[in-house]
Amino acid sequence: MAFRAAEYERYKGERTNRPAWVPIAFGTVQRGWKSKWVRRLSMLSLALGFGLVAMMYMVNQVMPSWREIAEQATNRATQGSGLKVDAGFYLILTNVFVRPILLPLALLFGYDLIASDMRTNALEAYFARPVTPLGYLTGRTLAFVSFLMLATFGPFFLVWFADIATSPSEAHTDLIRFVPISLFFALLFISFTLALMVQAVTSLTRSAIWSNLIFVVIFLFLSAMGMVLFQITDRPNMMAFSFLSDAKVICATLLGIDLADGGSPTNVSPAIAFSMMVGISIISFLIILRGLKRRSLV
Amino acid sequence: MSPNVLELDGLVVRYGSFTALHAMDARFEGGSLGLLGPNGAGKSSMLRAILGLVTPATGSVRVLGEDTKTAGATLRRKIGYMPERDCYLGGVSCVSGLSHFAQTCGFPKDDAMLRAHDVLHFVGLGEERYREVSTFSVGMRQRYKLAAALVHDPDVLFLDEPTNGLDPQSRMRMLGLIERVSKEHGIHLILASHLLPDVERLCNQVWVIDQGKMKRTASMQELTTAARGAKRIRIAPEGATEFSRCAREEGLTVEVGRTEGELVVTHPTIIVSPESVFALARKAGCPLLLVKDAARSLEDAFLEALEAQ
Repeated sequence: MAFRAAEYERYKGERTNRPAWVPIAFGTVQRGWKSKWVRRLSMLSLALGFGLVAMMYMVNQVMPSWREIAEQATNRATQGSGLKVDAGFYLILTNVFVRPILLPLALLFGYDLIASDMRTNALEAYFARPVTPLGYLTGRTLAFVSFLMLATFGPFFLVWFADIATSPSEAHTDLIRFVPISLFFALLFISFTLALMVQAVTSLTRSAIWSNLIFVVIFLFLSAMGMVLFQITDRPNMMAFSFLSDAKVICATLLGIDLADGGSPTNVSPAIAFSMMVGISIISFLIILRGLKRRSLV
Repeated sequence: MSPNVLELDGLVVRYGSFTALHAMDARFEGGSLGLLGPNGAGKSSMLRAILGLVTPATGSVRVLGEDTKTAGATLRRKIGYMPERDCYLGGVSCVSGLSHFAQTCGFPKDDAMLRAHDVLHFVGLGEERYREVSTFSVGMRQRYKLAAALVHDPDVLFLDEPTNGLDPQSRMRMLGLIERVSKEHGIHLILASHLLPDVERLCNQVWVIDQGKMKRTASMQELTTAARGAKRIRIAPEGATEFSRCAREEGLTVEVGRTEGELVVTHPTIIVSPESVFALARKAGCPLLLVKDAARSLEDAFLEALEAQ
């Protein structure tokens, strides 16, 4: 390495006009990736995707008509509601990726993003530079959502691609053609809401322990409460308290599936599920922005 | 003609019903400015206004010729701010954190990293650059904050109590670094400090603020030169008594100085001229060894400015 003199020098290079939120977004991804559990969960998710693809490929080599066989076999076992590889199959897959991957990943990635900056007064350093509270939030949230999308939508896309590549007929291809776009928007909406909610809670508590306790309340207690209220009142819309139930309804709606057709009475109406998510996003956004604006007063 | 570094035009800052700054008017043409004032005087509010983080109720702040109302965020690329309290990015090395901050000011990624290494070498943290700031001592954190303020190569450097918590040796080192940046590289300095010797060493302009009002704006020389044109003289010790008698006859006040044979001569209403001092020495028959403007400490000047209505 060249010798560097301990002398101050004025910068003579060109400065870019890139918005300040861009380096914040890249910094956020790097910071999240440093967490061992974030890396493990992301790898697990991608491994699941690749595993499903490999399985589909191998089964397709042995039994090209495995879709029909699987449908008939499960039809027999479940008296009519067999496994059909269509949009419904991808909705079932969301159970694999949203609950065990997306939720914990969001918590692991985001629980200390803003809270850490508040504890170390890094916000003061940001806002004394050309970073506005909105720019800061944009950078953090975009990176957060992109990461969640990569870890959840990525595997879905792989499975869908393998499904299309091994499609037995035009009819099957037509049946699942729209799936990636629908799932992309559904997961984007859920990830965005989740990212804002996690950041809002951590900006209020500024502590990892309290944040995690609040998430336990939000995801477990409120879900249980929704179920209890539904049992008491017999109104399915009470399940709107359950974030997971709302997420499922949103995925189903965008995939064009009517959950009521499946005989499941415990589902919220799509309008209420969407309203709930939008409400959470707006409230979270306002909470974060208010906190950041207060902090921007150096 | 280059614009003033800082211009306050009838600046009023209000928080609800509380007025933090009352119609401040001042100009800082460049060099180094010391902001002096007791706690709660309005220094922080002024800083917020300069950084464009609070909108003035009335009046305006112009930094390097640009209005902070309209050019707030872009203007902050040209301002380096060293806050009083610690602030750093947690969970990353010192050099990565600085590189990140430089990137937010428009530095390309590679340049930002190179620049972060350079400024850390400059402040003497070259060997510690891969450590996290949370593991640093107080002195190292102060130097880190200076490096963070300099990493994007600002044109104006705002330092809030830069020598807080430093031992005398570290303090001198920190002042030396700031002095080099200011004098050798033409970076304008705005220093808020309670340590008047620091301000006296670094600054050539002083603004004294109290209760949100500008009490005095003056050059350091004006402030530390005794009021009413006092003169500090040195004469042979044996002639001191006779000189003092002659001076009193002329209506002058004579105080004994800090060293033997040193006297401070003042008049309540007029400036004491060197010629009048020479005439007195001739009359007293004692040779003059030295005549110069009597300097006061900045502390005296500061307290006097605060007491002035």
